[in-house]
Amino acid sequence: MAKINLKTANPLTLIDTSKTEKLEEEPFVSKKLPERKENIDLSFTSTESFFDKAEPQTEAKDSNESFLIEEEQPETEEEETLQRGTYAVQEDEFNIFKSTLSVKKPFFIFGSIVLLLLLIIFIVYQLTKSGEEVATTKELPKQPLSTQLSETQTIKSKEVVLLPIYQQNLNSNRFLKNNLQNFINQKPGSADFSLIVMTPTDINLTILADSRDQIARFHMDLKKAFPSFGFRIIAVQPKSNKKIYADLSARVNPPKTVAPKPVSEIKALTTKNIANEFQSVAKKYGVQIQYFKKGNITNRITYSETVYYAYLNGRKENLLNFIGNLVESFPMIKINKFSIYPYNLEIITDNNLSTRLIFTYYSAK
Amino acid sequence: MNKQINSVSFHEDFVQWADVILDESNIVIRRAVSDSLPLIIDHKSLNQTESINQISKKLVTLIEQNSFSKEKVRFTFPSKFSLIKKIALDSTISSENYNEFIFFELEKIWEEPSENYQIYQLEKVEASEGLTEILILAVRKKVIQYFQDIAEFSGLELDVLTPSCFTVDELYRQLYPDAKGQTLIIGWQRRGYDIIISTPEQFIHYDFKPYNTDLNTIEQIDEEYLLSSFDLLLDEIQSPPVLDRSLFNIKTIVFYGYHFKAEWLDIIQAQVQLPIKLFNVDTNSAFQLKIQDALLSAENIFQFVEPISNIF
Repeated sequence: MAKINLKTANPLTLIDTSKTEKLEEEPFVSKKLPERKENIDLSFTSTESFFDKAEPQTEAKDSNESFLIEEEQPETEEEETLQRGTYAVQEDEFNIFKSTLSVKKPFFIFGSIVLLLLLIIFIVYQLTKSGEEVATTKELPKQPLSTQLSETQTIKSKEVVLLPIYQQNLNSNRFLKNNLQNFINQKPGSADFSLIVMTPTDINLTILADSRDQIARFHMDLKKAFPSFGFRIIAVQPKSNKKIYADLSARVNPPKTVAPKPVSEIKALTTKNIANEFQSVAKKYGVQIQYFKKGNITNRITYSETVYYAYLNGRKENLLNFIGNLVESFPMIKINKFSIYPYNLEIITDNNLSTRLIFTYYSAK
Repeated sequence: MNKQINSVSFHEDFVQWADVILDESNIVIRRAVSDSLPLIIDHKSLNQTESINQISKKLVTLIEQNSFSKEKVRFTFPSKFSLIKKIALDSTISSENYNEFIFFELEKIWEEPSENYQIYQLEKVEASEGLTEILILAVRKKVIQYFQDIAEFSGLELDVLTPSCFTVDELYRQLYPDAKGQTLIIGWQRRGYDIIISTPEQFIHYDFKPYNTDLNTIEQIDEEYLLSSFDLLLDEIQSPPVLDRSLFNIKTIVFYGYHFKAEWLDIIQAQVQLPIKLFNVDTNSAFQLKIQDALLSAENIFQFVEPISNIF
């Protein structure tokens, strides 16, 4: 039932748009990331203002499923030697400790009791902290931010089962990206886009026009410019007394075949580092992330699908480059939908635009 | 269990009051009146405290003349004073994030800063696989306050305040729960049509369409032109100009409104292939109608639909 009593109903609380305007002028990382300090892991602090808390059980599960299995192996001879050296020093220290144990036994027992007490106090203190703090601690990336941002790994054997999905993703994502570039760059001049929404199966365009005649003219021009798309006008809506929005829609079918992506070039993603990788690409192209949120998780037999959605701001070229890089670097994600529109909700120009992006991340179990 | 309801419907330049008793199977209309307002309720008068005083005085007079109760009075106001929109969202979006998408959609259509509005989320429907539709209502805070002030200045205990389109939709569902498909419910108002599209399952659409571009009143418009152009109106509702597809699949048309004349029904029916009827409480409805007001007849209930509709 749609009936409502405004006397008693609770209105919605909406987002503060002034925050978006303010963030536009601020570099995403430089002002939000705290300075790094020795022995303090600030990687959580760096992301908490932008990225939602993950579901604790999901994160706990993923911590055992990292793509970065090779990271634990020494990669060079030099590293191997260094590790052997470390083990040798530890062995010597253990022998000295063993030989003096009987002499220093009372001190050792006393010291152990003190350490035990300190440990108990620490645990009690942790437990008395708020539930929120405990939950967010679980989300902390365990690695320093700098290493997360630069990792390029070969995928593990269990991810091989996902290669066909990766190829499909890449195919679909490239199709979306190319369509976006084509529509933005080859738009007919008879009206301006106010919103572009693309999914793997549909393209929806909203234009802002002065009259219904102008809408009809644009429709004709669009058909000439993109004859393979059967665009239809599906809705018109007055914006004010002078302007009219028109929604045009077309069904699309991505091509079936695509060249496989070389496995060695695929950048590893996990539910832990996905936010930071996303942030890294955004920073590279001067795109500001307003938020990056985790959605539903669907578990399949051999893999799981996690939906993410993001809200970004940037100049037109920067956003297009950002999407292009995302598409080529991360075939484990499939873009479900993206929409591009101007800040002022009027028409798309080269200047500041906003993008909403929804994608699914595929990870092997 | 009997429930006595005093329901007031505000229109642009007149007001209707219905004193109704509702029980499980009967709607008893004890008294129903219409009276003109001393002013037009529009953007200008919404900003004038004096207009609240004038309307309140009119209500007090109506109460005194008809011995209406001041307790738990229900108000409807013209739906055109609100923004009503359906928003389609991906089902993957969790409900705690709906607000900003709602804001984004409304941002495109409202003409005042967003902080001037109260926004409400109404029905939520799984529209198709992967898509959720949310019905949104946005009303200027000034409008809500205006009608609350009228109640207060008149000494009325305001129980319900709502745009009329939702109560009209609700009354139709309650009276005709077995209706099939989409019903187009058209309210003939002073300067245009209230257009409501509804199915037994959900509220589909609301829009206000003026009779002409000059926003003339129904009395200023040539009657022949008005009636002969109804088929064009229907086309425009179902398939607006330049659209490549029909937006709706209307099965039945229902008319209501104080300004509609019963004799117009046959003239309009001759142009349109769909069944058209007046919004009365007939033998097929789920409730029986009993009228205790000697000045009112069962055939003219369609003219009092708005105040009567706010009884459920």
